[in-house]
Amino acid sequence: MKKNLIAGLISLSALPLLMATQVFAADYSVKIENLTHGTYFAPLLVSAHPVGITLFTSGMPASISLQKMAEGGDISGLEADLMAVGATNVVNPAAGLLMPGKSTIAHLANPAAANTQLSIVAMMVPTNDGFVTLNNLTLPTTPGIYTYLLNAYDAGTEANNEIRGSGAVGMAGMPVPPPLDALVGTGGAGIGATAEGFVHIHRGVLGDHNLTGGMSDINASSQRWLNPVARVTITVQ
Amino acid sequence: MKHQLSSLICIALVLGGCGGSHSTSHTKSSSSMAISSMMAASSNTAMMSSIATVSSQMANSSMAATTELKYSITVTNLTAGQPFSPLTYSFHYSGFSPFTIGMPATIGLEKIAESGANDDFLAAAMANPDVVLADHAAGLTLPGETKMLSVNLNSEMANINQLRFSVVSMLANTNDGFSGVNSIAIGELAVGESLTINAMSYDAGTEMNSESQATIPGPAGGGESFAARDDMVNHVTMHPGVVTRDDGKMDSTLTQMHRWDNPVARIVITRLTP
Repeated sequence: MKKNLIAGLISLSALPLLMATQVFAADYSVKIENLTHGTYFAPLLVSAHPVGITLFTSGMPASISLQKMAEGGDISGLEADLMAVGATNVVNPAAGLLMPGKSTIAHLANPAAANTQLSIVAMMVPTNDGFVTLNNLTLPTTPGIYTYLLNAYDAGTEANNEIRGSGAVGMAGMPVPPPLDALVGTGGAGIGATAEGFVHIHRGVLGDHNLTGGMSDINASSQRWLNPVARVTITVQ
Repeated sequence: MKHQLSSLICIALVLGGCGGSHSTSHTKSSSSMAISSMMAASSNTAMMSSIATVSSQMANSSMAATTELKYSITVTNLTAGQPFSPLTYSFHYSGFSPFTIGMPATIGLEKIAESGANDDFLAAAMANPDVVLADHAAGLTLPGETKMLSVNLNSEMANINQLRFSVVSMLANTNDGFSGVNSIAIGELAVGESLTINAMSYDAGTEMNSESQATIPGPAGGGESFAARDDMVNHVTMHPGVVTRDDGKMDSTLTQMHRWDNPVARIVITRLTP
């Protein structure tokens, strides 16, 4: 009983403070965890934006900005698109690649009242045009902790040949940033594939076990994944 | 005054439970959610009065130091060809967790994930003051099989709403793959209510996924079980899946039958009358 009383007193004393924060502001922090075994996330874009904006529509062709992100990890196009509609963006919270098993926190603070939607995006490396995303979630407003699991998508803009190449739009192959240089193979012949033409759930990569040849430069045992590939934890205060 | 205070607490607990449908983490961090939900509801007098009735009953029964709880747990193996090692489960508070993504596996989890042996895991769990009960089911849970367990335990009355449930089990035809649920909040479950969870597959990060006959303890290999850590990753992640010899890994002892996708298990926890 003593414990209950003490808990009750704490609750009562905390009320005025919480009331004030709930009426005048909300504070959002967004934790993003890379759950994969061996796939890196390129710089993340975390954005609170107005309703009616979408990064992509499944089954439809990708925008040029989404294509830049998915093929080369370049989030500047999406960032500018979202800025133009008054979004609150957190750019590259992990300060570079987010490694498998690691997490980062994007502090959105108190986004403008119109920015009721949350979107998150980053290229998955090594892939040709794979990306992890949360698209257009309506931000919860009641203080608490909310968890979401994210899937891997394919932008549909580039053939999944799974060999080293370019991160530039329209250029074949996968960009391999320095931290991944030793983990990605070389000399693969390339998998015969064509760009799908529309955004969809990624079918996964094949990979192989030949580090200096074979069909793919991806490691089949360590760089495949199964969904979900990321966990997002939103804390609303 | 005493009654008013305890009724407020109960509202917080009850509403915390409602808000908890989106939440996997209930303890300290969610207290602010519960309290503010309580604020939102305080204008609802009907709710106030009905919950106050419940609270007076709770206040009476809280005279007892502990209360008896009973749960049934069913685990269905959703895979085609991955037997589950003996289900190793625990009822606990926030000071215990079977694993954390991105952190090295404990030796107990490593042994379960590599061989299914749960002695070390259970010994460590039972030595933890935040663990109410830790035990394991008998035998394997085969593909397609549903294992049913009935568990009675005693929880301190004041801590019931903080109670969590975890279970882990090896995917036997892998190097160090396992499934399970991690610290599911069950403290808000009323008698007769149940939670259904689709469980994912994880990689303990303690053994290379060589898929070789010598390193797979399940029926597909019959090889070695627990060994020294040889995976440079050395932290728990989601499982990347198995490649198998049917998909080009010619030294794999596994076939297409051993592949899977998430979820790999369905787990239902139901609170029963003790």
